[in-house]
Amino acid sequence: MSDRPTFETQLRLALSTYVADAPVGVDPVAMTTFASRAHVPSTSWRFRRGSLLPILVGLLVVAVVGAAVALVASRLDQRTPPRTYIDEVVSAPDLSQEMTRPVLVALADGRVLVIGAGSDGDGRPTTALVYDPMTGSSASAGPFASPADPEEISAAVRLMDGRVFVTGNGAPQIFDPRTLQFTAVGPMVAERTDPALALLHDGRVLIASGLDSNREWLLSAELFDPATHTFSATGSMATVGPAYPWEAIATLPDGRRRALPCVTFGGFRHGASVSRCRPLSSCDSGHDRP
Amino acid sequence: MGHFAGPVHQPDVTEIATEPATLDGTVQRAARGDEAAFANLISEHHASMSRVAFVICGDAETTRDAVQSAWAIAWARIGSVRDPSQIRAWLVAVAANEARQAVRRRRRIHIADIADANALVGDDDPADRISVVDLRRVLRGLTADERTLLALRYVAGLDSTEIAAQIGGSPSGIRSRLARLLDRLRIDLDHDGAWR
Repeated sequence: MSDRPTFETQLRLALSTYVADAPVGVDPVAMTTFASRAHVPSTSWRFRRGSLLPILVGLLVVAVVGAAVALVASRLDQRTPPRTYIDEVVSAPDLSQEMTRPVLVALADGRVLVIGAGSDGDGRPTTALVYDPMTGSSASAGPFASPADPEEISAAVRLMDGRVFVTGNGAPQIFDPRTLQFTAVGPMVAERTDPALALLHDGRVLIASGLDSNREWLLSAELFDPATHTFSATGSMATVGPAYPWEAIATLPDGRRRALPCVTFGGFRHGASVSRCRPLSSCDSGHDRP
Repeated sequence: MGHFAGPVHQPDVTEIATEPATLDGTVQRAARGDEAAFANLISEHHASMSRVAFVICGDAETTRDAVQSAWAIAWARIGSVRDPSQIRAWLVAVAANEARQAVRRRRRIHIADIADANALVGDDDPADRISVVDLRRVLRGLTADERTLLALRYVAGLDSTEIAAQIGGSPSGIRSRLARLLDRLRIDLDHDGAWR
């Protein structure tokens, strides 16, 4: 039987040799003096009396400042379009559905109300959606307050309070961008199809001309008051013409119009291709007529 | 030192008049702030603490700093020692912990050249000299925690129960870690067949 020491014994002996250089010398009195004077930090952390209050105050300040920054940022985001386009036409994502002969209204928040019929328009119901030119997303709006065929909703104008007045074949209604719903108003003084609309500076809407039930152009005009949702007759026009009176009526710029991007359609009957621009003139509503 | 405020000791003894002049009494007096008793503890345990710390630190300077720091901690917390018979295990564990902290602060292990290592051994058997050089090389390859385990077991002579009580864990877990560590060392040190 071998008397060779075990590995553990050899290891212990080697370690004892290894630690021969350890600094074992010490002056006990001097070390005691040092140890008794040394500062040893506590290993346990605990709240001291009053330490919670500054933390809470700090958190409160951070919360208030953060809320203020978020509020200002949201206000700035609302006031400033994501991008300003000047005499520039850029591509934008398509609408979620094709729109034929659409009526366009730029909403106060930069979105666009699009009212039209489906592809070709024949037999397709009139629909409405709200399009965001910045994100390219579309949201369905409606349904309409009154039954409408593709030809009935022919004109719209944004009111001063942000709502939209739309009309067609004697079915006037108000669109609320917050709820995306239509509400019927009226009746109108005269039933008229394809009238011309203009927002007056006092907030009322001038509704002029249009076709009567005999498909004759009307000389009469009336006013819509958004505050009371009532219509009242006003002076008649001397003449009517040419054939499309909506091209001859507009509200003069008052200099306060916001620079919002508007939407134009690339061509008749194929409204899914959308471009954005910021013209210097009105972009509240428009028609894409042949 | 920037702070000279001495810690408040809270010894868990009540019968001062009847305490015997034993190790227990020395610990209890030291816990109450008796500097002479504390100096006695230093005389008795400083060498063991230094050897354990040296295995972990690998150089004398870091070892000296670590043990000095350990004595400061011992002064402040000796009142927490419930069993005076475990004072040696507690002190070497404090030293080992301070040595680990010192190594982590240093972020590197002192590398001594072979000439220094040979000089340490002096006139011992040449076979031992080679063994120490190998051992130094192997120790450099271990983690601070592994060197701590090795030092507490084979330098301080603590058993697995004492080590577990000081550094945490179960005695069986300590034994398993030691067994794995020995297997590694056996392979690393037995490259020439001398260690078996």
